[in-house]
Amino acid sequence: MGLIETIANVERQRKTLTVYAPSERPDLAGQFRTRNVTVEYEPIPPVGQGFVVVSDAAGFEGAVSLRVLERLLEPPIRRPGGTPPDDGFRNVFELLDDTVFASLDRRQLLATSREIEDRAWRVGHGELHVGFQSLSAMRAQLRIYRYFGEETDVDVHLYGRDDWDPPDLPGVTVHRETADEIGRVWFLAFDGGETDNENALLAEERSPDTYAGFWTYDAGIVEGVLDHLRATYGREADA
Amino acid sequence: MTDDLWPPEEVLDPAIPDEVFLALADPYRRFAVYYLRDQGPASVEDLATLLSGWLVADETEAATQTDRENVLGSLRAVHLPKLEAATLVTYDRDDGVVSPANSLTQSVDTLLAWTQTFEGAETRTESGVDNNSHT
Repeated sequence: MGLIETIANVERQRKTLTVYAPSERPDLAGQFRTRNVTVEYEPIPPVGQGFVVVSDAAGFEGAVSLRVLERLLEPPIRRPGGTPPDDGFRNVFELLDDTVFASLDRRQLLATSREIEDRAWRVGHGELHVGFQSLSAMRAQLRIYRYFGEETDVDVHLYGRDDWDPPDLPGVTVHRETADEIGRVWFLAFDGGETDNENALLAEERSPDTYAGFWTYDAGIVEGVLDHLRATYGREADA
Repeated sequence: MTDDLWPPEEVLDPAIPDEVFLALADPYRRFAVYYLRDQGPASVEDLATLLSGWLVADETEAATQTDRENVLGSLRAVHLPKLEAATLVTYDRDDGVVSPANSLTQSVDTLLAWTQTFEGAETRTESGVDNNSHT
């Protein structure tokens, strides 16, 4: 499945967050306005604690306490320090991470990209594929990818339209591509190496500087993206 | 406030059947009754979703699909039969709908209102939720 189709697929899997609380929470609905999530409200009597049920077309996916969601939403949605503090918290993140289909600006994309690079750096091996749309966009990141080649065993693949000629970097393969999806999609995909740190960011530029896309830890989606990149552009390596 | 800890006289009414106390000894059954009395009939599937979020999910753990399946199973096998025996609910097994009892005695009504005050309440407000139990 191509990159654009993968984004559209995730976009279709729209989730519903149903807020169960004694009174409506327009503040929570507002938090998700820019995301591809439907927020609904169900009244409950004022007993115990409020909670949020995440569901998709297939039904119930999970539930989290309203308090946990409120803490996560303290802006912006982002795991603190990169590493979830414990397994319970990780479960909550995983439940919500799939819902992070969003309209994103460059600043948010850059922050998420740094997060994925940081994770690959710490794992120190595996495959990291990065699409810059245009190769000239990688100039600002050149130093980081040089370090990747020198300091880690991460197999780095960089993709973009051929508008700039990057210097040769050891351990880094540059793919100069003309395909439509390469020009339109900002992406990073890391296979996690031998660990379960696989994650990917895919964002399509739908109008200048306005992106729609997602960030996922779903191993199936990440593998699908990597398979597509290897199958489509693998032979053109070292062009 | 300490006066509230002491049960109102109706709660000690010997006319309240033992089945009611047995039924209300479990949080899943109590919360099911609180919900049904407040919101009216619900499907057993919706009750399973509700109770998974309300009682399984907490500050660190999400409720999973497996949790919900377990809640659904014990609702059908244990909780709903006990609530029926106490005549707190009716359960239509054909359409899977659970309804609150049409009329509870004044004593049972008072008993439920009293137990409800011990469940760590969040209160209704106009703008949202005030968290009384926030630490």
